[in-house]
Amino acid sequence: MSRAFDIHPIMRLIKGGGRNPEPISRVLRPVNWGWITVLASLLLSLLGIYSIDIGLNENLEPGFLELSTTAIKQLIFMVMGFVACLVIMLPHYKLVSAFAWFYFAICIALLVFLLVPGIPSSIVTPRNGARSWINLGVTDFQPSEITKIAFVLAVAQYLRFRTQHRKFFGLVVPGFIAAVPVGLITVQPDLGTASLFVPALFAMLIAAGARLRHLILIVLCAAMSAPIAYPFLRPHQKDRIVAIYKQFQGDESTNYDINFQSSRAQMLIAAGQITGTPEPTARALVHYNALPERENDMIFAVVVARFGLIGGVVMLMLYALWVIGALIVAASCREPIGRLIAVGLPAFIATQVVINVGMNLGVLPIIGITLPFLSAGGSSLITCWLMTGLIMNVAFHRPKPPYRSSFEYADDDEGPDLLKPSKPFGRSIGFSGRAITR
Amino acid sequence: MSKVRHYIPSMFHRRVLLLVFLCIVGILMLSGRLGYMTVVEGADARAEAEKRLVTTTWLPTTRGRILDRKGRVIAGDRASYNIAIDYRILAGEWVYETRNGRTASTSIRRYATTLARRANPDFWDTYPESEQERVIEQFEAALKARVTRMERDLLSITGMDPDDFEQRKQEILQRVGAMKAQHYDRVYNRLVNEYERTGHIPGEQELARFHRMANEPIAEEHASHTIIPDITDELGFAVLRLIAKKSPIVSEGVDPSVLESLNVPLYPGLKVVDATARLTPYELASVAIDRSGFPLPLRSEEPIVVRVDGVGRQLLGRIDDGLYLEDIQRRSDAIHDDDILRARSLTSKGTDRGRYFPGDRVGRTGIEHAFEHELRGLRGVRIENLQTGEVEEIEREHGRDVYLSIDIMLQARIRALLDPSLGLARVQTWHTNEQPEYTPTGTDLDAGVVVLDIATGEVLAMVSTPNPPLTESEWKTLGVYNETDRRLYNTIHAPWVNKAIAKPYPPGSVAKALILTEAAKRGEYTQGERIHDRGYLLDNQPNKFRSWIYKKHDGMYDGHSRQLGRDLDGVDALMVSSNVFFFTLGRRLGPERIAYAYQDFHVGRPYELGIGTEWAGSVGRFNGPNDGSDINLDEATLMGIGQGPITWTPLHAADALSTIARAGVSITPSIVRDGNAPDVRDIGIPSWAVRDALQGLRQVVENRAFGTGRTISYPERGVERYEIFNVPGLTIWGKTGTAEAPPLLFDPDNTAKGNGPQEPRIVRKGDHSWYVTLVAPEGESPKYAIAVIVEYAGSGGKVSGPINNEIIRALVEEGYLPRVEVETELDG
Repeated sequence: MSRAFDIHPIMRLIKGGGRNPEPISRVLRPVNWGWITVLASLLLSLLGIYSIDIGLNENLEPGFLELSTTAIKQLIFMVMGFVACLVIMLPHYKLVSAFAWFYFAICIALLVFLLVPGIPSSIVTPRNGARSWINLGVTDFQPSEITKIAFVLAVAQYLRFRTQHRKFFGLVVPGFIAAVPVGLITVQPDLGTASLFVPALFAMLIAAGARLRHLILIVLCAAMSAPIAYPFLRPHQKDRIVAIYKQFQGDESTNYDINFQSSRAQMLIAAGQITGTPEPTARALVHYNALPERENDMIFAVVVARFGLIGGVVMLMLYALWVIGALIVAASCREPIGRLIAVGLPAFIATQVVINVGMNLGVLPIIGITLPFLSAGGSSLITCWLMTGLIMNVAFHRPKPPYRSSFEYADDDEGPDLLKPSKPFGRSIGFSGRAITR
Repeated sequence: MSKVRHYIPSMFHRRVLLLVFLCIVGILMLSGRLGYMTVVEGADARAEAEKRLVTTTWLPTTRGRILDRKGRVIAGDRASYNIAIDYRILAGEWVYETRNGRTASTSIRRYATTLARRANPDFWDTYPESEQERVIEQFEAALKARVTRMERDLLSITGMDPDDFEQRKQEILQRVGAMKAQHYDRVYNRLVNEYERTGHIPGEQELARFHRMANEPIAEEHASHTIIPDITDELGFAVLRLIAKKSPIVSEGVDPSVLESLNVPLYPGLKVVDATARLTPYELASVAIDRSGFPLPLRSEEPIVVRVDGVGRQLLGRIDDGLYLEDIQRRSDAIHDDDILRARSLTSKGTDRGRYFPGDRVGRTGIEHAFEHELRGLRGVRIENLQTGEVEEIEREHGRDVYLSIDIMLQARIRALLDPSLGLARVQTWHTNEQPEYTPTGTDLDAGVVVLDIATGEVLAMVSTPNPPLTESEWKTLGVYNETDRRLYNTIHAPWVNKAIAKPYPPGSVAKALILTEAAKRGEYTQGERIHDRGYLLDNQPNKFRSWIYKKHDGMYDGHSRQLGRDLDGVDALMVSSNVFFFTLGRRLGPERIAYAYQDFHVGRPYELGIGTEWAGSVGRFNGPNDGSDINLDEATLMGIGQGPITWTPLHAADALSTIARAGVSITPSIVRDGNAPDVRDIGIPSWAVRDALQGLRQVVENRAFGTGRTISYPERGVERYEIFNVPGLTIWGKTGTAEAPPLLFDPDNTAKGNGPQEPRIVRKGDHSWYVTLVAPEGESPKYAIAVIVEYAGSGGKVSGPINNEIIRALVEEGYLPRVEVETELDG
């Protein structure tokens, strides 16, 4: 490859900056596990478009490609998302993450902007009482979605060379990084999205070698303090918790009330039985049973009503494929920031799937959270594709030297002293064979 | 752990593996729950979800008719519907269905705002206020246009005059407005008064609270009111179909995904109310009564037209639309017990097409009650699959008709005859009233009548007077204004009790005919045997079992033997209605066999006519075993003349004489022609006893000197006697009865044991008046049996006799007996 081409800005971006004399074929890994996530994203997105159409098409027996408006929009968003995925997978993730704090700051600023009083409703459009969207004219934009990615990059950036998080109080700073977006998003209020950040942070901390007992201790404390938090919930949030409790007791009194959405979703899910229902029947069942939010939070019910248990499990397998594919990418990456990106993003996706599906299955209260790739909505879908792009990015690029062996500690989760920092362990690999921060 | 560490030396990889593990656990847990729901709960949930793909419309049916023996419809439905509109729509508000299927109301403006917001879910809050206002106004106009269009369409399809419509609408608004104002005043004043009673003057705050409380909506404000009455079946269904239609209030420029949420009924607040009426065309009848054969003081050559209300009321019973839990339970029991009804009524999914809906009419008494499940039709069902558009219809089945053996015109005639205004059922001077204190001359008398067709046992007429008053105005017509008066009236007249079949009466001397036949059957009276009647039965006890003439003529005769100049055989005994003769037979039969004697004639067993409550008759004491086991010899002796512990009904009386007329063949009387063969049995009376009995009955009517039922006299005409029966060309057999009845008590305090401050007082006392006849064209055997009882009326011959005579005339008028014209003047 010629030198002139080698210094071409695009090549520099792909190679991660600097004057890397290595040929591009040495820099990139075209065959990698990341493709699994692309394949899963593609299949899930198509399933989403189909399910949205089942839920929303007024015509119960539409002709070929006679899609509902929302499904067409979703198709367009999918194409946009795919393009975004391709774009973001090219520049080396180290370059991308170099600006992590900047992205994070922008996102925080946007989240603050949403809450600033006096912003005209033509710009910040409250929906269902939540100030989560910025009106871009053509479409709405939900900053909290993109904040997920910025958050992962920021936390990864913070943790990559540190060992403080192996101490109990070393968890304060990562906790603070999470607390800022969580607080701002909770105030919107968008409890669903806010609830994703902590599990994602925990996943990244686990991957980064934080002591499990510290994390377990925090979880236990949080669990024990949950009853204290209950009085601070809004009335409808309390009602939903009561409704799910009543449902477990076999009390159906709230089925036409606060639990309407959940009970209808559960009925349609169960009605899908093992093999699902023929398409016209599925359309009719969803339509005449008036499933609320059928294109959105409750789209899983539509999928199962159409494809049954088999379809539901296949869908979950696709998510598993995406998440495990991303984790394999993490495992095959030797560089800390790549590792953390490939752990943080699937943590978001997995948590979101578990909460959404749990909500549809009636085991978790309704908190308003979309199903990645499937639910209608541009911000959500494009964000998901960006995540896929970032995973591909990590998978696609070989680590750029110099790098150190990351998050390898001799004492794992053992040792009595909670406050004593751990020594890094393991041989250094990569450029010059030494970790530069030792 | 160390093993894992051995195989996976990298801590990061172990941690990633942990995350993979957690992910798999999560997926497995969700899959498990999903599997449970789809596999275990799947079938039920599918059925539940598919329910909403199907709409079920019930098509109303009509109740079966009740027809008389000549095919005249005496009760039948006339299908009719009213179009009603919710008051709130009339008052300019909007009514909508909530998610749980209830209706709620709000102002049109507010509903328009809700819809406008729904139509623009994403951008509503971004609109400037003026734009929001514009959109709301657009929706408000569209909602108002729906109401206007509904009114216009209603006028066009029903052809109602717009002015009439408007007037009707204003009437409803004014009426409900007035009710509301009245309600407001009543509640408000009550609250103020109650407050003031505590010694306070209500302040502004209290008054405002009272205003709020008094201003609560009244039921009429949430109800639908008839605006177009009495529309046809066809039109009713057409409007019903229109009511079900909905469409988005605005569809242009609206995101298709929200269209469904903008659906608003095309005809808001409209209802079709089933107003099907039960018509009883013969209930109100005008009958021309020929009075030429009436007792002399009432006689007139001018026929009189009597307007009779409630001809078959006792028989047909009452129907109303108040539904009780008992009705639902009764229906459910019937479906459970009756295989045929079950097979007819249940749909393939096990739904009873005849089950009660709120507002359904239910038979409460009489035939309407007894044949409720037959009369009640089965609704049609229209099941539409919204997905496929397939429609499945089960035709409605009209209620089954019930055919009666009654002749409604004969019934009307008899009912007319018993109208006190004609005088036959009213205390008259010639009745030689012995209880003027309780039933002074001019008192209306209550009666029960049964006419039986002897050959078939069918009831031709069954009348009980007075008719039960149904409305307040009917009560007022009777001069009854308060609860005590109402109880007094009910105590004396027992209007709800069908006196022909459901009220216990002592048989009195009517029973003598059957005692004669039973004594013969059981060998206690032999053919040709004569018994001496000295006026009393037991030696040295002339006051215990004595003759009725002994009582009546203060010992002028010392018995019928002396009166006739011979000892009495059965014929004589019936002719003169000898007590001593039948005391003797009663004593000979003894307690056990006299009970059997009555039981042979169905006393103690209900006829199960299927038309409501019956009195089965009692043999022995009331509340006893009803098998005669509690009767002693003296009581058996008394039962020989139809007194003592024995009761029956006019139907028993007519049936008993019919059985004798059939030479001992009993045919259980029936009133409903259900196609089942009647219960026929021979009770085994010797033929000579039948002959004697019939001859004795014939002599009662025939023998001018001694027959107890041939003539009556009028004080104003001296000692001259006049024939009771004066319809020419007929042969009549009969038996009078003047049966001692227990005094009727009324307790003004309405306490169970009469232990209130006021003493229970006697309101009726004396004898019931019986006359039972058999009648046939001259030279033929008995064709019809007529039993008449008039309560507390005294002499059987004087009161019931003339009524019986007029019933025979009614049978002639209605073609059951031949009309024979004779030139001779009646009665001297």
